Amino acid sequence: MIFLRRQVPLLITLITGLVFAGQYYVPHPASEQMLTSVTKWLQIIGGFALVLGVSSLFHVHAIKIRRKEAGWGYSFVLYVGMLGTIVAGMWSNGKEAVDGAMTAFGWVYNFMMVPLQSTMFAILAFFIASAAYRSFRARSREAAVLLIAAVIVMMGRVPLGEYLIPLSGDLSQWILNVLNASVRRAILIGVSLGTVALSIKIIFGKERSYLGGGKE
Amino acid sequence: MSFELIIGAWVATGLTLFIFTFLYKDNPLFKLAENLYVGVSVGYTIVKTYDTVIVHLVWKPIVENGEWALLIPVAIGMLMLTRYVPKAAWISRYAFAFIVGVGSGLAIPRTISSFILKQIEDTVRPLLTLIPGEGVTFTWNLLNPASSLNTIIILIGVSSVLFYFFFSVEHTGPGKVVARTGIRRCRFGPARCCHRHRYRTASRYRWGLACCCSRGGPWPCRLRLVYAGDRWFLG
Repeated sequence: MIFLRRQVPLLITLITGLVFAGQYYVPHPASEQMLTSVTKWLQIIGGFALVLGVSSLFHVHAIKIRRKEAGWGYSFVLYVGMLGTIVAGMWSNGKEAVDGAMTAFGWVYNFMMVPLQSTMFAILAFFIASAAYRSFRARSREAAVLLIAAVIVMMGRVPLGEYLIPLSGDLSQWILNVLNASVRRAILIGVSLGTVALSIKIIFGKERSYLGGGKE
Repeated sequence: MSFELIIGAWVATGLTLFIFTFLYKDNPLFKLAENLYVGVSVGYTIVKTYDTVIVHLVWKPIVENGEWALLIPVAIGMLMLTRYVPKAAWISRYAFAFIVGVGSGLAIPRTISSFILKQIEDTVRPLLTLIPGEGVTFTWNLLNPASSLNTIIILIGVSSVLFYFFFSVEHTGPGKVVARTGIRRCRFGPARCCHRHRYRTASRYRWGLACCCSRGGPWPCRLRLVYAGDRWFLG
């Protein structure tokens, strides 16, 4: 039984991992076709993964409503929003517009989802400003460098700043194109090396956390 | 203007203002809009996934084109749902193993090619112009990112930042100088994360631990911190 529960999944990971790592180096139409197919397969399997996530969300909020826990009204709003959108979507066959006319689903998308999403991201600007204020306090040499770099870049990115300090435009470009680029490049290389290392560990069964806990 | 547009504009404006009320403080209007946002987003995702996956990727190709092979990913997807049956939950591992295996396999060559080799190439290739030959000139123009001076600055930056994140050797002596160059360079980049990475990975460094503990890091602080002059020490 342990073979089926533990070894077979590891074997599946090993075989699929090696096959699709090797696929990149095989410039043959069959290889390309295999990649196209598996991409589609992953999309389909991902659809089923959504069922797991959504049912978990349903469950958590259903419990809150049933037990009348603090804030259960908000869970009810969530339910209404979700079910209302699903009904509108199914009614409109998943289309936001038909022949140029907005459907009910399109209405929900345009007048509820888009403004809510945009505003959620918009308030991030305030949090970034607040975080930047705390970060930029020059308590050490490194923080001072951060502060100076940030001030130069901010001045260089707005017309007023460039008008007040003419050099700031070129300086901020240089910071972004040379200093910032080199740091980004190094971090990207580091992250990529980490990705490759983790992938190799997964393929060869060194990293198994994706199998979940529970019995062997 | 149609009635639904007018109502829609009012709803959109109201919800926008509800979200912005959070800038004052957390309040019921914000929570209402927040939960509505989650609900609508999940509903939208469900509908779009149903339309894209079930209808266009599974149902139509199978019924209209007879692509029966698509039943394989459907079966693999169904295996995931065994999570709901505790005794059969282990079967879902097959589906996760397939996804993770394919994802890892696809990631390795593409990451090496598109990120590692490409970034190294972009860093090193401009240096080829510095190799002595006929008519080689050293350009000092800072405003041109491709100038010789900037190329060397970028090379030093990339090397020192990479060394800063390399914890297999202790950062002492010349290594310390290189690592310090790296962290200073980080101040010009997306790198408030530098400290965090450092103390998480190389917690043996004293100042790293001090940094972790004094900022209420992920681990509980069991050591006493002593501030002496310009740095923290563990006591």
